[in-house]
Amino acid sequence: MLCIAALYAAFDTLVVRTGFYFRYAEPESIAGSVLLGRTLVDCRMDHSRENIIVLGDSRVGEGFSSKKANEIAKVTKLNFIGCGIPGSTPRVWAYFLRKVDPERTKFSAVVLMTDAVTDTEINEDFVNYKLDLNYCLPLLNWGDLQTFPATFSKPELRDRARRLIAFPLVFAQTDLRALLLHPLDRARKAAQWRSNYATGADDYPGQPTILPDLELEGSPLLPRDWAGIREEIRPQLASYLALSSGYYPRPSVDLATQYRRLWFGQIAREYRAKGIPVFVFLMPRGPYHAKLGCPTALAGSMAALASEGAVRFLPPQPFAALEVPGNFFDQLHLNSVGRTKLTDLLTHTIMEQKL
Amino acid sequence: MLFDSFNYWLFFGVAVVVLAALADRASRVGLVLFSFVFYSFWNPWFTLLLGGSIVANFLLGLWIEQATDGRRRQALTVAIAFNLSLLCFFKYYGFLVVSLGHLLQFDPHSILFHIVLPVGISFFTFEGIAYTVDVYRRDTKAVRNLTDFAVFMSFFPHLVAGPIIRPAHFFPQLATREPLADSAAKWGVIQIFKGLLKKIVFADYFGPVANAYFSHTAHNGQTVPAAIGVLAFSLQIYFDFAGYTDIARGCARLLGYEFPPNFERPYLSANITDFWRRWHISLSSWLRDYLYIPLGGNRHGRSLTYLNIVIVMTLGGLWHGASWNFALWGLYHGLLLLLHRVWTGVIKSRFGPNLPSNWLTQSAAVILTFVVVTVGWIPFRAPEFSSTLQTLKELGAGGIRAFLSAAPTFTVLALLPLAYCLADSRRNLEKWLSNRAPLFTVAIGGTVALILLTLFGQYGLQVPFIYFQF
Repeated sequence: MLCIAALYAAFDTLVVRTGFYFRYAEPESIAGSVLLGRTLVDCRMDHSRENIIVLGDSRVGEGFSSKKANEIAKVTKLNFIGCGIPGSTPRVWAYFLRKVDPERTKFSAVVLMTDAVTDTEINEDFVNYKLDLNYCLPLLNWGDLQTFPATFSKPELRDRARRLIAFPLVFAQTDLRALLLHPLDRARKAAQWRSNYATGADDYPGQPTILPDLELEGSPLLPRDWAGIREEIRPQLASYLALSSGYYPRPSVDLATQYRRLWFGQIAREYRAKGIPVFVFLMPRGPYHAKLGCPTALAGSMAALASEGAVRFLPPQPFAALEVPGNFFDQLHLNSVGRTKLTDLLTHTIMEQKL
Repeated sequence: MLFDSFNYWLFFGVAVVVLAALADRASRVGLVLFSFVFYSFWNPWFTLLLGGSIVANFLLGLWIEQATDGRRRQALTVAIAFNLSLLCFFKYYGFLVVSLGHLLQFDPHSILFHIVLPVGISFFTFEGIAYTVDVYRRDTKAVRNLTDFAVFMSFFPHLVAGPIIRPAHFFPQLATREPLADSAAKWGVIQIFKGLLKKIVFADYFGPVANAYFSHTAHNGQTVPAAIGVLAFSLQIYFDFAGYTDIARGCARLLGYEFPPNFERPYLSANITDFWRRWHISLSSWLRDYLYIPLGGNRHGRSLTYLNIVIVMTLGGLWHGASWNFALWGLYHGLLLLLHRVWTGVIKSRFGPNLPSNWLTQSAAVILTFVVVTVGWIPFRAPEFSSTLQTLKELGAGGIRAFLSAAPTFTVLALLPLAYCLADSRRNLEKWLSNRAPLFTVAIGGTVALILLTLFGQYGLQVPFIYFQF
């Protein structure tokens, strides 16, 4: 039995722990999006300049252009690296940064997005966010066997997290089967994505669609007239309006506070130990936030982290001012207009802070 | 704690290491403690039931042995009544009350209360009966040591879903326990991996297909035709139960004990009698020795023999669960066995002593047996009687080709074991791996099995072992 365990461990090390499998993982998968994020960072890293990573979820991908930021900052030594991993969360960012920058020396600043100025705005139980397991698959190692599962509070997720670290091949099973079925096609696809992803992201102009201004009414809050809203985004938009206006009960604020303190705090602590600042900015939260009168003043965990000097929270009001329908193409993401505005605002603000 | 769960293997690993480090007597006490811990994972309160059953059967065995001739039968009656009442109360109370309510036209809910079925009760009560009857028949001496008796009843690999252990087979192993030989260890490891492959790759693939049909939902977007649904269940129940048994036997072997085989490639049986010699052997032999023979067996003429077969099989069906569907399944098999007896005893001897016997007739017989057995699984799986009838009506419906072309894995997984059995009909590979292959070769084989489990196992579905509910 011990011999079998040793042989299996050798196989597992060879295939997963050396990173061999991840070279050929499906790019259009959750783990693949994390790996592409890593590729993006590697491609955009310029060792002759001061690299600043702007890290977040798909909203960073849609709302921030590294190319435009670097045009703005060309007179300085700053090099902006926008890295938006769709669906990712602060826990994933912490492990992602550990992977791409294990010594915490690659960046001269880390810029993180947040979509809430107060903990009461958080509308999901991120402590037990199950998808984080899939995101973290390429980022974990044996050393995380105790600590990573402990970041979940539900026993079943802790158990799943332990198994993820011990048996990553089981979690990559579907993709491995597809890879074995068409190995050459997969190798080609993975290589293509790796070589084209950074260029594609640089040249991406953003979405041209603009959301209309809407009159909102009722409970839950809904548009009086859906005209001008694409059919496919109506359910998400309705859900966004209900959530943002506080129609649904929110999960425990204490959990949200703990969660944000833990992950933003951890990233900040690790970089501050090397004298590298960590900035947090308010990602424009949605097209109708201004209309809904959502809070713009910093409170809760973020205010605490900022007052402790752990993170530097960029003044939220200018970012909140972008929360108008003309800057969005759906309920979450900035369009090309919003992209230009946010890139401009964020780049100038960081330049002011850094220089 | 299921055999296909990570937690079980952690538990088992700890048990192997701890028990190996203990001296013989201490290791038996340790084994009982581990078994109770294992059982408590389902419901800690039921350990009291298990403990009570162990102590009661232990004392009853002593009483039967020490009783004078006139009292022995009385003592045995108490022992059987005790075990059956335990089983009836927990397993059949609700069923009996509801059935009586229907029959006598009264509302059963007034005297019905919610009873949780203790896992494995059908198995350990049958073991208790087997022990007390064997002591009565003087086939076995009453055990004088409560720890030894507790090992027999509670030994965790067979505790919740068998195989049903017989005293005459198990107690001699306690008396002469030898260090684990290399070949025994290799055999144990092979059984465990064989069982895991059967359960996680095969049973857990076929299970959701059968579930989709019987719950009228789609499987991966595909409508499941009745024939495919029934075939899927037939394959699921075999791979599930045979897989469980393989793991149980392998684990027991690594802990130094041997369990009898419970399955001998039953779907390759050429007739229904042969099928019952190869399917759930520990139950069918128990039914033969403790029910069929005491009923008179075949000693009182043809008609009574036939009647005994039908009674035994119907009760055997009911043993699986408190539902008329199980009784129907048992009755069906009883009638098939009866039919086969008539065929072999009367028709074949009178009209066809020279029936050709070649690979073609043998194959036809195997296919026919498989088909009748598979059809028999319908009442076993269907949630109710009307659903059984509906499934029988739908068996001829089309859509099979469309399903199979959309789900080629089904065909591959159904035919792969058959091809393996045909290619290695004498189980030479298994014998070679256990007896002659170097340890490293077995380790390579185990690693390959583990990699196959990793790549092709069905995880996250949480398909429980079917026989745990019995």
